[in-house]
Amino acid sequence: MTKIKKILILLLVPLFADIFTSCCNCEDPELLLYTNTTLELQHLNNSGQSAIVAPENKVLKEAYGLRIRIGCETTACNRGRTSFFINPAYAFSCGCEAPIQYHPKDSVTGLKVITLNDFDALHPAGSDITARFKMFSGYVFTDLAGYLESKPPVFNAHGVKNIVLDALLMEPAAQTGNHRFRVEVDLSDGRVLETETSMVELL
Amino acid sequence: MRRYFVCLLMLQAAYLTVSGQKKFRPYRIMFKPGVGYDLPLNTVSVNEITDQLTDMNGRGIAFQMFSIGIYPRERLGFELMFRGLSERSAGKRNDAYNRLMQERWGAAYFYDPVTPYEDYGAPFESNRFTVGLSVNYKFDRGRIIYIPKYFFGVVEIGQSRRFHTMKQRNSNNMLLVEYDTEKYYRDLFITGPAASVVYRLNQTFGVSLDASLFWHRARASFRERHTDLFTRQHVETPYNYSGTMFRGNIGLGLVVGMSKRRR
Repeated sequence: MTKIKKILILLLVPLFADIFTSCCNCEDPELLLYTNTTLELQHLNNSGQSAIVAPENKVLKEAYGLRIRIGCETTACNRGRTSFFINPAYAFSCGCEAPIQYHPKDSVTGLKVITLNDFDALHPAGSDITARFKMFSGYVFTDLAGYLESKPPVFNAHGVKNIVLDALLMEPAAQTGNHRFRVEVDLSDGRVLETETSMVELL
Repeated sequence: MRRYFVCLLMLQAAYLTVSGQKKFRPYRIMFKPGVGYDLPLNTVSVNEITDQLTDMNGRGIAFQMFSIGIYPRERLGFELMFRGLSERSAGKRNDAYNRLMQERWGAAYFYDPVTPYEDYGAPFESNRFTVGLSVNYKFDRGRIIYIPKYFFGVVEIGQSRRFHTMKQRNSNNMLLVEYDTEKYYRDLFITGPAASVVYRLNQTFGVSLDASLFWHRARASFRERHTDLFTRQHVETPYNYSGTMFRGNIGLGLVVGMSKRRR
């Protein structure tokens, strides 16, 4: 009998934990979905203290960057509830979840920057030069692929915002010249978003 | 001219009020808060920028928050003293630090000036505290008390850390500049002669003029590191302070004394 009691108590521990941390006064959040739909590119000029959209298509090659903007839209679908026992809001802090949440329906699984003309002797037209670009965040330069390792954002009642990545050209070509780039973004549902930049003269 | 004579008359009246042929009982216990000016008599400098991160050469108004002299014998006694430098010196060092950093890096990088309390370790430490004990020998001469002393104590000198992430002009490169030290504070042995002259206004209260000449070892160490955040290559330069610091202090105090009652 003692053994059965111990087993019953162990089985009830998760339920008690969930009850313990549940806030009776929180409303169930409305879970919606968004999807990645569009891709937009802009040339960046990072000569100054911070990167700005280049006012003209001439940028120092050591200070060039690419702003990759992935547009998101809400879908008509709702996301299913994931809580096992009870709504998992936390009672101790009474921090209820945001009443409206937008979760990603699809995520970015790949990101490539392709040069449309000869970049340098080692990278002719059509080459993948993704590794030449880095993102700077938290005192660290990371590969563009590093973004893929982070979880896609969850938006709240303020609405779905675009995902913006500033890719900085950290290994420019030795020579100056005119360049165009194509960015390809692979999504988890099999779609590929791609677009090309306008011509930019790297000085 | 009229104001001058009025002041002189008032001082004379005050003197006559408090003066007299009264014989003062010697103090056995003296409390003496005061204020003075702390002045380094020499400078220990290794690097202009790291000089601003330590209060080693600091000067300014010093508050004697606490001083109690106890005389178990009529003449011989000891005094416990606690003195601190005001925070204004931190502001001056912060301004000098920003100017020097701008001069050094501003041509090639964007440097953001810092405030005294903005950093990742500790603010610009300014409250240099001196605490210790002196052996005193008191000469009572009516209203005037002469007290030569010899002081032994500890001075706590603050050291600050700083780090800056600076963007290179006309480039995507970022540079991390760090000034690091192992300790926020250095406790150093300090010693030297001092003297006080007390003028007794009455049996209990008096005013004092204090002077001291202390010395201590000049100990501090910093490490300057530049890191290219893209290549992760870095260059380190150590800066070590050594030598001896001499400090003078002159100040005024308000004396509250307690005497042994005559039976």
